[in-house]
Amino acid sequence: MKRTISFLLLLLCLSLLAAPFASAVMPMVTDDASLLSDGERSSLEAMLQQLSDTYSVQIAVVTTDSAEGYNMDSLVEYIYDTYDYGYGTGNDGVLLLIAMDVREFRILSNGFAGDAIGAYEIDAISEAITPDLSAGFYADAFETFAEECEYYLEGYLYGYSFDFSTNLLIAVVIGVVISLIVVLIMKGQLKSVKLQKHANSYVRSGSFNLTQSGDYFMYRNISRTPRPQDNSSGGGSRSGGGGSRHVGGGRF
Amino acid sequence: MAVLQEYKCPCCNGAIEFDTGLQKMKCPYCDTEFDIADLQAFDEALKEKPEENMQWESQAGQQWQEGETDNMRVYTCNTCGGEIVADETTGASECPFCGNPVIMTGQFAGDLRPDLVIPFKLDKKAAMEALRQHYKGKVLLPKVFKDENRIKEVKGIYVPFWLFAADAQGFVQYKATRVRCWSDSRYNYTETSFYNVVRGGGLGFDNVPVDGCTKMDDAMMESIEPYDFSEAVDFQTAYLSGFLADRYDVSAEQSIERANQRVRASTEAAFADTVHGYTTVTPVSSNINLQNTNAKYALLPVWVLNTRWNGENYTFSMNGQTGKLAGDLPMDKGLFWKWFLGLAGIISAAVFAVSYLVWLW
Repeated sequence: MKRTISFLLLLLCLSLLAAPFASAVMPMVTDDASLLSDGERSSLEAMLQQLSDTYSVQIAVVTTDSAEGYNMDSLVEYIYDTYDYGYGTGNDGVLLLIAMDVREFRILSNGFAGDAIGAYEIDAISEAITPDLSAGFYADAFETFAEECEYYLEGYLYGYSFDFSTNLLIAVVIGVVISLIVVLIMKGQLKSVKLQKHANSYVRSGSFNLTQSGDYFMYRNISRTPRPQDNSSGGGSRSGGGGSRHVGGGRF
Repeated sequence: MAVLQEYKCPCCNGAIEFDTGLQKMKCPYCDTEFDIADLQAFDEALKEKPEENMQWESQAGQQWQEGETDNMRVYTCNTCGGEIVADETTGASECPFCGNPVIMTGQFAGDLRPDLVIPFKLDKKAAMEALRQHYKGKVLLPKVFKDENRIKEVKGIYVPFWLFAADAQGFVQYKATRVRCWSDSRYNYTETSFYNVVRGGGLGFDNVPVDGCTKMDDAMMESIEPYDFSEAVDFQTAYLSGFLADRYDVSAEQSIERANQRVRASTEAAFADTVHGYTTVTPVSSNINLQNTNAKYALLPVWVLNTRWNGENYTFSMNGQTGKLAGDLPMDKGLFWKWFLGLAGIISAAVFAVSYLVWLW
């Protein structure tokens, strides 16, 4: 009986000890490539943690010195699955992976986050962070990544907010251009005096005869330009089980 | 003093004029109508009559300075004896005293005799109406210009033109390219094929008009083209009665350059129209030869309307045969900016509203 109780106590202690590990899963920032200072790291962690809590989606960043020859797409999936990133049963999460040796990054979205941040959104995020990554402003790039994720998650959940200033600016530019064209046409109506270029009205009808007509091929030039290598890797998407997974990214 | 011609009504001796509606001479006093040919015959007969000479010398007034009268001619009105001072190129006018139409026949005699004339088909009223139509739909035309617009004068003028006819023989060489693009997985390919294209042939031109009068703006005269020369008739001074007319003061030789420019442009355009199927076509050389050239001297009908606004002269010309009117109009700068800002505001607001609706949807 006593043994049974102590066994149960042990079990209880173990489960109490194990519980934090099970739920706290992986850290928000794993900076193996040491791209961030301590200050940057902790503020990024705080930011990601807060976002993750708000949307119940883990938003994480992993940096590594070397991809060790792995295909980046496979690597990001391997890390995500092996280290069990993501919250809840659907493993809802977004992971940004950066490998410094190949200077490539990948963004993976999974589960509910995969629904909110699809291939199109991943491309947009990639585009937004690439300049900072290329310039070496990693902290800024990660902050942008977090903000973009928030924007799309928020938009997916509650609808995108109306971008007042951008829409207004575009509307004014369109208005000014069209209006300018219209008033210049109006101005042109006032002018009717100009020299004639041709004498077509005075061509004797039927007098045109073509006596000589030749089209001679001279030579041919073929030039080729390398196709712009798509900087963003296509990545893949698949859906299933109440969520979808998307991978995308590029070089920096 | 130069010779002056007036057409007198054989019935009532009133001064008769060419009537645009009837295309005949008509006496405004007794309404008798005359065919131009009949009148011409009658006129020839009258020429046999010896001229009167009742002039006398007078010491009154000062002598003209030398050179002062170079550009002037003085005529005596056959009807009232009034002295008509006219430009040296004036060929038809009206007497400032009795208002009778007069024709300075000397201006159209000998080498100066025009070959052709297109009689006026449209009258003064048509010219005023055409000007009103010309104002229509011009949003930026100052309202005051339209409202206050009192045309100062409307003149029907036979303007001297040189008409050039020629067979143009042309040979034009072009460089042309044809571009083909395709791509595979690694490269984009652009294939440019270069061609030498030649075109040769002929094109005939009849009656290419060039303004032979320095008083009329060349651009203005070309703006009211074309004229239909199938309606041109052999010149008779009678057609000028009731209108103004000038004789040419730009010679055919001086005018030929302008005709050549237009003939060249038209010939080249005709050849260029036969070059098809290329991405770019650039003329390299063009050689135009003119054969069977001839120039005719013609008087063409033009209504000239003058007005003054804000210290500036505005001149409009209307083709007296077809009614085509041309003339630059002033612009209201305030209206320009009002329209610009107003439209920009409305369109911007509309685009903004649409973008908001799209977002809501």
